[in-house]
Amino acid sequence: MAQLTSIADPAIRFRALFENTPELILYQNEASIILDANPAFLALVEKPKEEVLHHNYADFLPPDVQPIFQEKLREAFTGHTVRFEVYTAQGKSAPRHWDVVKVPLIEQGKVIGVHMVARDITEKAQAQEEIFVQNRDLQQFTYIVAHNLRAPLASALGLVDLLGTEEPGSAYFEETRTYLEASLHQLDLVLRDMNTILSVRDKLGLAESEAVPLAEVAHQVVQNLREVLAQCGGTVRIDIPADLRVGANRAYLYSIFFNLLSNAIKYRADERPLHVAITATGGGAQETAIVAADNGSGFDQELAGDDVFKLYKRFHIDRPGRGVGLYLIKTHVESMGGRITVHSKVGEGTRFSILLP
Amino acid sequence: MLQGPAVLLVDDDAATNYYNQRLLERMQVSQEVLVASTAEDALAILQARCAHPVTAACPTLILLDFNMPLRNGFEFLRVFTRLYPALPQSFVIVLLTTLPLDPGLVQSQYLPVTEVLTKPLTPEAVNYLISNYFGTPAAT
Repeated sequence: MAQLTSIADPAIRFRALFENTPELILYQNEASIILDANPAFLALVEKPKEEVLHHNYADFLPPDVQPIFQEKLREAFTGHTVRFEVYTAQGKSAPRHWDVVKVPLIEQGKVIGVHMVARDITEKAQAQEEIFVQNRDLQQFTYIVAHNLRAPLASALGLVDLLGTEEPGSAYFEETRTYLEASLHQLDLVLRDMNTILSVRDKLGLAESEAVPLAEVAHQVVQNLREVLAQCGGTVRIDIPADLRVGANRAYLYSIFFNLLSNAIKYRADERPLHVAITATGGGAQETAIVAADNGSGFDQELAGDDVFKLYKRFHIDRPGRGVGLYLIKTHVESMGGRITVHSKVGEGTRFSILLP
Repeated sequence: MLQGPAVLLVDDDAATNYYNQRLLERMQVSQEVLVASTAEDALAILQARCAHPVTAACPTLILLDFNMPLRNGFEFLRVFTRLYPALPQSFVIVLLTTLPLDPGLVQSQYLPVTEVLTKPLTPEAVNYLISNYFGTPAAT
């Protein structure tokens, strides 16, 4: 007859589980007094066992969650297993998300105590929150893309119908055809923007950081825009210490300066020659503060509200633009862990401030 | 002189304005088609033609783009109703959108929107607007 392998005494097995599991286990009576607590709980509240046993569990909980623990304990004492999630500190611990189960211990039809098992689900809860935010962003993105693709397409659909009714070779025919062409080009631009934006979003998180000399990148951008600057009589003053390096992605920094300067040129004031000042301070252990200020036409900040950096939001009706530049700048800045703010006054100019870690 | 209401087109997109204007002119359903490329221009036209003793026809049919830079269609209407509360409420205001809007979104604004149509404007939609709100049979 085969020999059964030895099965340890159940009491020893369950004791080992109690002692070694990372989950918090308490045994409480009806008055919420702790009759037993496992090492995981003692470690969390940083108290020796004698300062925990025979104390009310409520003593370890902030006032705002005491009622829910009280209510669930009472429910468990009616003979039901209850489960709930709660975000709370315990003892002096930092607040965490807990998945809590309270299991009644029943003897001869009577509940004589309740075991509580609490599992730390903080990371899972945070991951869920991130996914929620990402989903919301993607939904918003899809909505914007759909609208911006449909706008020139709707225009083209109407115009192509109209074209079929105009006399070929007539002035109306030619004008309609010209507008149709413009609408199709607009459609193409929107699709190209999508490609740019998606390739930027794709690379988020993969951004290779290097110690980039900031002044060099700024000068390179000014150099590449020198013809447009010369045409409009604009000047750019760069005041960045030559040794200032930023732990960042070079291509992103280039794109940031390029889009900032392109915007300054595009939205310059007609009454005065454009002047842009780009300064940067910090570096080393400090945050790097980059400021780009122009004397351009500015925009109505109150009217623009929170929309300044949103995709396809535009604030100048008399200048061409698709509302992509500032969205890209913000995406780049945030992907490097930085933040960007803007101050603008109509007729005076616009100042962008970027902080990079 | 052509019968039918004067029409005001409000859209920042030149191609759309051209198309809508040409469509209305070809269909001969309106005595005059006015074009504004911004909410401000549109307000100025309404002010000049509707607020004072009428010198030229007040455009009673307004085709309004929803998605414009600076002030969108809703914001335009908000300013419009605030600036000219005394204007007779005889305007037919048609909101033109690139994709169908959630009807609840429009209702929740409590703005004088008569109809919401998805672009492009079609001859059928124009016929419907004219015969339904202005009672003049449209040319076909």
